[in-house]
Formats: sequence, C-alpha cells, structure tokens
Amino acid sequence: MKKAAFILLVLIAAAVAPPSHAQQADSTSTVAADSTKKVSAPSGLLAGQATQGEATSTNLESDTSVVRLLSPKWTVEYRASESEYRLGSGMGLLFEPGAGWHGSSKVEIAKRDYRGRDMSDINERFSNTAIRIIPDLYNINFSLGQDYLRQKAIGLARSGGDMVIENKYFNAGASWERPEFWAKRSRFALLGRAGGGQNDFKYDKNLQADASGYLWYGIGPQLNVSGGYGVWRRVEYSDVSGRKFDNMPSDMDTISAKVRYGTGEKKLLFLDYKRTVGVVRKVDPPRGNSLEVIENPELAIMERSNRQAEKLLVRSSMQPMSYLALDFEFLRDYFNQQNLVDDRLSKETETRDVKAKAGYRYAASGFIDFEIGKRNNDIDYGPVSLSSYLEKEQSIKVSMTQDVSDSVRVMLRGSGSLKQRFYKKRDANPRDADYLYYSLLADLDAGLPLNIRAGVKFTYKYNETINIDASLSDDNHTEYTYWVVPRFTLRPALWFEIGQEYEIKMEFTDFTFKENENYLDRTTIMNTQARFKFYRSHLSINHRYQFIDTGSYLRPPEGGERLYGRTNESYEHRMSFRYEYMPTTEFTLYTYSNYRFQQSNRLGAIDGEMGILSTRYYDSGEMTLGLKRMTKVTEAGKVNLDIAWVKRFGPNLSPERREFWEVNLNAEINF
Amino acid sequence: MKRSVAIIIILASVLAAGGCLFEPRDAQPPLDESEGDWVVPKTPKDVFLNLVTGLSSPGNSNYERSLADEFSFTPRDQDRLQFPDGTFDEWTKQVEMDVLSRIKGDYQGARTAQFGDENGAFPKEDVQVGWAEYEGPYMLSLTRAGSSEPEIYAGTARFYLKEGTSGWVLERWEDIDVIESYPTSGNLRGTFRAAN
Repeated sequence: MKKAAFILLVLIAAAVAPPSHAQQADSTSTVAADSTKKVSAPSGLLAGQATQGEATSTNLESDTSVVRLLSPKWTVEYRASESEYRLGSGMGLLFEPGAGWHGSSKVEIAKRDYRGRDMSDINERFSNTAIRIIPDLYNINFSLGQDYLRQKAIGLARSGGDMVIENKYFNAGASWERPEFWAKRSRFALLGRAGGGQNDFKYDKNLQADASGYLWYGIGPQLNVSGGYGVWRRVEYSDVSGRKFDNMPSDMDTISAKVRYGTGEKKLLFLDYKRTVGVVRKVDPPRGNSLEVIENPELAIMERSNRQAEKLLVRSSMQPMSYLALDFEFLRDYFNQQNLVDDRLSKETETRDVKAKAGYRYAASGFIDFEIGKRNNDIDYGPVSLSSYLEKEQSIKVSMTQDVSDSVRVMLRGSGSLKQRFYKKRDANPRDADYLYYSLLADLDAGLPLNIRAGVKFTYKYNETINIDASLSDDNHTEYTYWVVPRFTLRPALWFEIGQEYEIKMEFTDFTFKENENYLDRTTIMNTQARFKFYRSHLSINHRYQFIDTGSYLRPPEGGERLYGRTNESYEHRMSFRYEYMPTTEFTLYTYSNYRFQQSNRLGAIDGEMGILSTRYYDSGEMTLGLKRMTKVTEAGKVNLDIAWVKRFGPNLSPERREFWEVNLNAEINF
Repeated sequence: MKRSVAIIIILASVLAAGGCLFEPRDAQPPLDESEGDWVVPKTPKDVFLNLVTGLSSPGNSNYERSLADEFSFTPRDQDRLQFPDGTFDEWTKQVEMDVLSRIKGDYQGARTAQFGDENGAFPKEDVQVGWAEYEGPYMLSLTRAGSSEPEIYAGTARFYLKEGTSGWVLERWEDIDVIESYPTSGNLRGTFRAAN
C-alpha cells in the first residue's frame, strides 16, 4: 500500500501530460487505455540521436570517453517536380546532459508552391522536448511547441483569404515502469496537455488528461495474462468570430485484457478483448465547408458524438502432427456512434468473422492449404437512413504447391465466395444483391539448362452480380476473365539477359437479361526486355506490343447461333531505354527515354462488309537527362543532389509539363 | 508421387466443382431498363460520361466498370481533419462502390453529375498514350425522394485515368479545393463512410 502511494506521489509530482499523438480530439478515443504503449523519446529526438550517433562515431573511435553535451544540426532541402516546388530548412539542437536526460530543440520551415496554379503552403514547426529515462524504473517527459500551417487556396474558393491552422501546446507525462503488484511487467502513466490555437474558422483552447495502468502476469512457462484500464478527459473552448462555445467536455474510458497460452509465435490460445466508451464534443462547420461559417458564424454548431467500441479476438493454432497445422480465428467487432447534429454520421456496426484453416504437408515436396470462412456484417445507419443492411459472406480458399523436381514448381490456387446483402428497408430501397466470385490460378515455373528460366501462368475469374429486385435486375451481369501468360528468360552471359512474356487475355461481360450489352475484350501483349551490364554502366531496353479488339457475341435478329462482331481495335507500341553510367560510387549520370504510339480503329459495316470507319492516332514520349551526386562535407555533413531535365510531348499536355526540371536536393551538417 | 497426383486430381475436382459450392438467390425478371447506356471508353473523357450515367441510374455497373481495380480517392486535408482518423484510409474500389450504394439508397430522387465545364472541358488536360490527367471543377447534385431541393456537392479535383485492356478507367480522384461554399465530394464520401 505504501508502495502504491509512493508511485502515485512520484507520478503526480512528475507530470501531467500526453504524447503528441493525443493532440487530435478524435484520435484520443483509442489512446486513453492503450497503456501498453511505452512512453518513449519523441521520434524526432530518436532520429536525432541516431544521426548524432553516426556523426560522432569517428570521435568515439578515437576517444570513447568523450560524450557531447550539445550537438547542433542544420538541414536544407529543395524539391522541384512537374507539379510543385518545395523549399525547406531546419535547425536542431540535441543535448545529452547525462543522468538519463535527453533533449532536443528544433525549428523547421517549408514553403510549397504548386506549378501552374495560384496556390502555396507555408508550414513552420517549433518544438522542444526533454525526457528522462531511468530504465525499468520511470520515464518523465515534457514538450513545448507550436505548429503553423498557412494554405492559400486557388482563390476562387476563399475570396483570396488564407486558411490558417496554428496550434501551441505543452505536454508533460510520466510513467512508472518498475513491475508492481507481483506482476512480471507493469506500467502506470499520467499524461497531460494544454493547447490552443487558430483552426481555420475557429480559435480553440483545450486541456486534456490521460491516466492509464497496465499489468502483465506470467503464470508458469505457457500462460500469460495482461490487462489495462485507461481514462481520457478533455475540455475545450472554441470561439467562432466572437461566438463562444464554452466548456465542451469529452471523455473516453477503455478497458483491455489479453490471455496467451502456449509457446512460440503461434499460441495454442490467444484472446484479446478491448472496450471503449465515451463522448466527444467539438465545434464543426456544417457539412465540412468552413467558408459558410466564416461568412456566417451563426452556422457553427457543437457536435456531440457518443461512441462505443468493443472488439474480441480469439485465435487458436496447433500442430498435432509434424505435417499438419490447424488455425482457427473468431472476431467480433462492434462499433456504435450516435451524433446529435449530423445524424448521417450515426452508425452502428457489428462484424462476426469465423475462419478455419488447415495446412497439410502431404510430401516433402508439396503442401496444401485449405481455408473456409464465414462473415456476418450488420450495418445500421439509424432510423432515418434507408441504407442499413445485413451482409452474409461465405468463402473458401484452396492452394497447393508441388515441387516436381529441384527446378520445377507447380502452384494451384482457387477461391470462391458468396456475399449476400439484405437491406433492412427493402420496400423503400430494394437493393438486395448477391455477389458470386470464383477464381483459379495455376503457375508453372521451371529452371532449364543453359541459364534458361521459363514458366506459364493461367488465371480464370468469374464475377457475378445478381440484383434480386425487378427494378435493378436488368443490370445483372457476369464478368469472365481468362488469362494465359507464358514467359522465358535467357542469361547467356553474366552481363547480358533477355526475356519475353506473352499475355493472352479475354474479358467477357455477359448480361443476364440484355444480351445487346454483352461485350468481349481480347488482348494480346508481348513484352520484350534486355539488360546489359558493362564497365560501370547499366543499360535496359524494353518493348511492349499490345493489340486489343472489342466486340460482342450477339444473336442475329432472325435467331440462331450468336456471332462475334468487332467494334473497335487498337495497336500500341511502347519502347523505353534507360542508361546509367557510374564513374564513381557517389556519382551517376543517367538518361531515360520512352516513346509510345497507338492507333485506334472504329469498325463497322461499309457497303455490307466489315471495314474501318475511322482511325485515331496518338503518340507521346519523354526524355530525361540527369545526374545524381552524393558528397560528404568533411565527416560532419553530406549533400545529396539528384537533378534532371525532362522534356515531354503528347497530344494534349499543359505547358508546364512539356519541359521542366526535377530536382531533389538535401544537405545536412552536424556541427 | 502417387499421393501427389491423387491430391492434384482431388484439388482440381474440388475447384472444378466450385460452381456448385454456393447457392445465390434467384433474381426477379427486370421490369425496365435501370442502367444508362454504356459508352465503350475508347477515349479518356468517355469515362466521365459513364460515371454520370452510373450515378444517375439505379444500377451500379456503369460506375463500377469505369473504375480501375486499384481506384483510390484522396480528400482535401481539411476534409480529412473533419472526420475520425482512418475514415479515408484504404479507399478502394470496393469502398467507393459501398459509398455509392449508400448514396443511391439515401438520395432516391434525381442524381446528376458534371465533370469539367458544361462542355466537359477542363482547365488543365494532360493526355498521353495510355495515361491522362484532368484538373477542374466537378459538381454532384443529389435529391432525396419526395424533395425538390437537391443537395449540391462540388469542388475542384484532379482525375487520373489510365487505359487498361478493357478501355479507359479512372484510377484516382483527388479533391484539391472547394468551390464557393459547397461541400466537397470528400465531405460526402467521408460522411457516408465514417470509419469506425
């Protein structure tokens, strides 16, 4: 009891505050009781430590007793692409005063302009963090900072006004890490946050607190039991152009438990349960467009959202014999959100999912997986909506892999599923539908003598949509896909490789009740690629030929067998060429170019015979010339530069995309 | 080896018999045509025509066939901040179609859409072989059953399209700005997904 009181005193004395991930109101809903997450140094700080470690490694080699108290760092980046320019810079200071303390202070600023449009963003970040880590005893952390984002939109929308999001915050947190209450591991945390700032159309102030506890017990070598409880509280004040919304409280409570029985990664029994209940209050603009609120603050509303979530996962894995593995999984996922103002956001959902899987190694050279699943979804959007429904899905999957010899492998995979949707108000919304799906994949891969690799892949898919009601069944159809892909690769020498792949694909859509809509796409593709490596150079050449024709199998008006009539055909060639030359490991010159040509013909009857009614030609291409350079600036810094000139042509390209520079520059100096 | 062959035969039989594994419900014969005409998307802008009919008609197939398998939606930062964390994560084609079904369920009156100006032209159009990008305004007008007042969702977006083996498809829709005081498609999508 004295120990518990001591822990409480330490925590209260040490802190009041959460990590940065608890900043957003909505994200806090699952944060409160997630006490399994350890309080750790912010990622930026850790990244800084890693960088510092790299930068000082040489010093450490020469004198391992030297520990740097302060490590300043400066970075700059510039990026240009076909759509934007971005210039950013940052300065940071890492400090390691000892006694378990680590800290950082950072300022970052970035400006982004959009090419060809009157839009720009400015983003500034200022943060200070201090953390003390006493391993296996306690952590305390503090952070203070400000984020600023200004976006200037196209202008048409906001009458030239800018959108500003600017938030200041102070966080403090503490956690007690030493195992207590006879547990193998435990953790108790208190977190607090005070923040506020301009969020586009409103000014917010808020206070948050988060308390959580977590205990982990190991009972014998195989049984582990853990559980946690957390509470999150927030109160927010908002000001919308003088209209005040005071004292908006939000809260969220979470309880969680886990049981694991068994050894190894796959447990004989694994049970995971989590329940979250609470309410979130905040000011929203109507239907998300803050412009309306800026023009008329009376439209701002306080939304109250009651939320409840529950999740249960039970998983069992066993291997009764060396050649047999069995897995079972049950999931129940429940969620309920009821909104006071925008009831379209209200939703109650429940999913029950059961899966069973068996893996059987029937020989040293082959195995089979078999899986069946059943899922029920209950989606309810509240009494007003007509769209609530129940969904039932059954599925089956089978796969087999067989090694015929050391270099020949056969793989077969098949699956099927039936998804049935039942609308709750089907008289008003008769959208009941069944979706039937089957697929089969067969793949043969073989390594042959003389460094030849060859294979063939066959795919079949069946996708049927069945609308039940007469008002929609006209749309019922089945999509069939047949796809055969033979391939081979030759490697006559270490520096040369050539390969080809052929694709023959048929996609047929068959309407159940209106044959005239049926259509068939037939595609033939040949891909050829060659790769060369010689004297610090890489060269790759690719060519792709594609032929597609589209038509329908229709029954003649006088009856009889359905006949195929083509309506369109297109030929396409794509060629690409890429060459890289690396005089040193830190310097690369490269050039890349491609050319694409397409001819599309519309087919029809001319004087009683099938012919080309019209033809359309497209061609487009691109050429890139560039260099990459990585330079070390003494041992403390580096500069990475990738710059390229790009020239394009095509039938309809906006001027800024016809010719531009792509730049990616990063510089970093550690003082 | 014999055992391997036997297992392959059994597996192939199971897969071949796959068509008998599930029993879907029977559909009622159609009363009338629920879907707008499908325009074979041989040019990038055909995709927008199919999206319009895909939104306005009760059926979903025109809209679904206009999306690439790897379709994604990116909201404005402001719309992202307004909704719970994760609302816009992994915005796949499946998520888009679920949201579309809910839109059609709750707005059963007239639904119209416009991409670009009234002639379908965009302020920025970049087209190359197999790839296209458009940037400009869009507007969705949705009416509830029994109401004469549509709700307007509008904004400026970038649309990334690619040409696949079945024609042109929309690969990514990225909202970048609002237009006047209208809520954006990101607000509509976020409201109707509202992640747990």
